[in-house]
Amino acid sequence: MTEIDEVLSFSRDYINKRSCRTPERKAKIRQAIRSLTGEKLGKSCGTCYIEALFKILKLYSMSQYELKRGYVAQFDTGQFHDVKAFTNDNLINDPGKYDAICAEWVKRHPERAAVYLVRRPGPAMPIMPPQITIIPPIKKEVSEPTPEDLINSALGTEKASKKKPSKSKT
Amino acid sequence: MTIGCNQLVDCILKNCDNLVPGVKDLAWFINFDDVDKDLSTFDPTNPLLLTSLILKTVSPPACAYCVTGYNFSNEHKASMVKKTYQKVWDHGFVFRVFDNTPEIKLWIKNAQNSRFMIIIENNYNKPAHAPLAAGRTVFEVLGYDFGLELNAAERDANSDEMLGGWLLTAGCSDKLKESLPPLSYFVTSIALTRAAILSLQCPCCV
Repeated sequence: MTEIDEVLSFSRDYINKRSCRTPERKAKIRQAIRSLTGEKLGKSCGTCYIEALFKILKLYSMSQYELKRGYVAQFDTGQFHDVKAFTNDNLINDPGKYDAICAEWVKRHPERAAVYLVRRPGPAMPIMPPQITIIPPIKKEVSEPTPEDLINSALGTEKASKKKPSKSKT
Repeated sequence: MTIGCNQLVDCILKNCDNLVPGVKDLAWFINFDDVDKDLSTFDPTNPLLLTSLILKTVSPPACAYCVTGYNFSNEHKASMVKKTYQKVWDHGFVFRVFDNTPEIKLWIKNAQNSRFMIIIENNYNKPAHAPLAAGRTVFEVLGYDFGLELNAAERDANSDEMLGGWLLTAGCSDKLKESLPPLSYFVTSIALTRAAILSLQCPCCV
């Protein structure tokens, strides 16, 4: 969990309950807003933290994708939803429309997405049909040799190899 | 021998389009270290045509800072400099700040020790001539190789022209000049180039 995810997780409680506004959480909000916008929060300004939380919510929780600044993502062939190209600004300003377009672009151009996408949603959990159950693999308990055993066995073989071969009677 | 390496390969024909001088009042300054040169791309046939300018993903986020002049107060000049063996290029940008707040002074103080690239917008926009699109002459990037630095900052409180504002001159360093003239910046179309610049812009621009 990143620091921003953590801030997002307690944002509702922080805004609604005074008891949840701990110094640790304030420090996390300060870090998060600094990393996102470069803004420095005053430690004593209580409302600034709530304003910062709303900014973080607006900036971060809306679009699932983030492109590198300056990059124009384009579809080589055709368009998708009448869009041929888009930038990170589009993802920020209209995530409802452009998240789907970006997902399609990722599908069509995975090699570019690997380079120019800063953030993307993680793979979704597989949906299992109800009649199928996953059985965890059975682990066989194998007793691993202790270091002493290893030393003894090594010494034993060494001793054995140092033994002079018995003279065979001819 | 590579064909076209230091050899003339094309003609220059008469330009029947209306050449418009000057640059626009808005310019974008980008910290030199913030540009991701590994991901920025050029036209495969022309190293002077930058087709994407990408910023690094850093914290706080890197972006292009706007500097806005007034009534065509920005000036740009590029000139070739002959050295002993090679020829290099000097990129210059003169801009004026019509203010004298502590914030402006802090900006100048920070700029004096930094290196930056500048994106300028020319007034001249050559129309499309198939197969070449319109807008290839509009945006230029200065200081792509080494970055520019602030070479002069001057404020004359009694100046009739500046009315107590700042006259600032950015350019190459004395020894290390750029290897190429200013780069043209064009992403497929003028609209997409503007969109790309918009995505570079800092929140303080608006």
